[in-house]
Amino acid sequence: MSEPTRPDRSPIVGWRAPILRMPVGSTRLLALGGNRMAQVGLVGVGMVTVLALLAPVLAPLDPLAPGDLSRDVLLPPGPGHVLGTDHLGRDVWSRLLVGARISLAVALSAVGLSVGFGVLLGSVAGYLGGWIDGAIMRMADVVLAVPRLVLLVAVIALLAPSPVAIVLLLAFTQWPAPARLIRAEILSLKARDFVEAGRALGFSGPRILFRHLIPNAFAPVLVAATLGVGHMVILEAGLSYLGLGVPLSWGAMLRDGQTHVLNAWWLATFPGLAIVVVAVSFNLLGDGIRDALDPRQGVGR
Amino acid sequence: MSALLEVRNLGVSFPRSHGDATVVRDVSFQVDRGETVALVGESGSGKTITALSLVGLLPETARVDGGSSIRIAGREVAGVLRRDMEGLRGGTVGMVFQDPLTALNPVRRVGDQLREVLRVHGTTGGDEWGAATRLLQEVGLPDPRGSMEAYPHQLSGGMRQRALIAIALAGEPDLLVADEPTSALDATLQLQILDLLAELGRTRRLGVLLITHDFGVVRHASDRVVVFYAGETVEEGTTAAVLEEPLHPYTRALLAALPYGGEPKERFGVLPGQAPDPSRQDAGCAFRERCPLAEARCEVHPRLEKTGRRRRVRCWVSGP
Repeated sequence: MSEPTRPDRSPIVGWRAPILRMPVGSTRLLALGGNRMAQVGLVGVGMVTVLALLAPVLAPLDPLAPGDLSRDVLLPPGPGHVLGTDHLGRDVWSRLLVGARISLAVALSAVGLSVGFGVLLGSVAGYLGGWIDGAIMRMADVVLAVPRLVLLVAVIALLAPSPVAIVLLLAFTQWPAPARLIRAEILSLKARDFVEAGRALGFSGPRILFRHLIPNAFAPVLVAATLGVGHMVILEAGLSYLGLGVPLSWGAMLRDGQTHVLNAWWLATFPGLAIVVVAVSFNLLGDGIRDALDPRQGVGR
Repeated sequence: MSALLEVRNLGVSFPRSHGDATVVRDVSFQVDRGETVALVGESGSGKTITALSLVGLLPETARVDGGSSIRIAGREVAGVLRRDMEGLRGGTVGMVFQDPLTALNPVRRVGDQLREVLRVHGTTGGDEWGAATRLLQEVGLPDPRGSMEAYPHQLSGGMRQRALIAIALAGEPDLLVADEPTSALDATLQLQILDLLAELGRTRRLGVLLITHDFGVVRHASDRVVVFYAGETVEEGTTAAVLEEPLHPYTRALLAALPYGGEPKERFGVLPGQAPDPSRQDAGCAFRERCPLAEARCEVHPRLEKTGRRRRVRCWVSGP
């Protein structure tokens, strides 16, 4: 604990990329407090996002069109196909790029929906209290009590596994987490003087909740959302692996690749790596945002 | 014309399973326009609860007694539901809180918070930015435009309290309630803020209700003073009269306990005992157990009696 703060800014030990060495202040969040692991996460997230956005431009070949079955099937990584081809002769790198779009789109929209829904319900529960609070939080308990994967598998097996349905379902199983988080924040915030001051100024309840309380609870929600993306990527991959997810996603590639894992290792390895890279990047970034927003949590690192 | 604020027989209690805790009982006083009235008393004497009841911000568990009357600008507000007070808050009664750092929203710029109040109360003809800048200028912020862009933590304590006063003024209230507005500030700033409140009272013809435990504040800033003890008003009068010639033994004890005036090495007076438990009050005078003048008749609860022009005291012994 008594470790002195490093005055060391020497080129090797204390080196930081110059562009990330920003002054404390509004840019502190972007610099992630100089936390290098978080910066790695930010770079990872940024790279995957750019690749996903530019997938149609970057993909060298049509990810869907089968290749020449006599020539292109199960080619190992090499010139022409950087990551090899699958059992139908399709280019793995191109499919990985398109899969990035799908995996990220599903994860981001599921997180967006669940956070929006959770923030709304959790903040209303925390602000109003009483039986409304009880009702909302018991609903959250019920959702949390059902094993998530079992629920997802059961519901998707009954319905057609459309991407929209999967996003909605993922969001539905996820909302209790942000709801609990923001409820706790609102409970502690609403005892603060500025809330009473707002009432004394004649502000209405909704105005105090939406304009004053929720913005103050923004930081932990941002952290939870960032961590949630990594979580959702894994969950969606799991569903796709079970054949219940979105076609063309990384999880689906993983499943297609497993039958050939002994004779064509590249089919399962690269989508698996992609999933790990995205999940780890978002987790590092989320941890970094939390540390940057709350310097106390950095003590003793 | 009637008084801006007229409180009569105000009683507030907190229902408990084993006997209600009565924290304010039989409180009466009034505030006129352009006048600064100080409510003074120790912690738990009911002065803050009295102030909160003016704006309907009492805790949900509090109950206002049936015979209470609070008239603000001619409107009866005692017993009005919290949410029905919204129109009154900020617009008729503005509040200045003790700690300006916690009373401002930490994540919004001062200017935005000020403009929000202006917008909610519709007190400007569209030019919120100009009106906000003028308000900050009126409360004496050195750089109104710069302060508009600042977050609360970027301002100094005195500047924050000025900004908070500007926000309280934004709804153009008739009555300004300041609850310990200077207790979080250092001594030189206290005087500046008190002078500012007095000046605003004069220029805007505001009634100012100043809640404090500090007779220094009372002496410096108030025209009249109301002394609270154990939830009651025990003495009331012009500040000069009460400080010159305190009538109630509690007021005398308070003034004797002030550290200034006496010889440097002299011990200042200490009042033995403590205020009675609000859930165990009997019929007699609330102060009699600590009172050096207590007599047999103090077993009967004294009423607040007029002793002179605008002068009232609740005491059998030193009363009229």
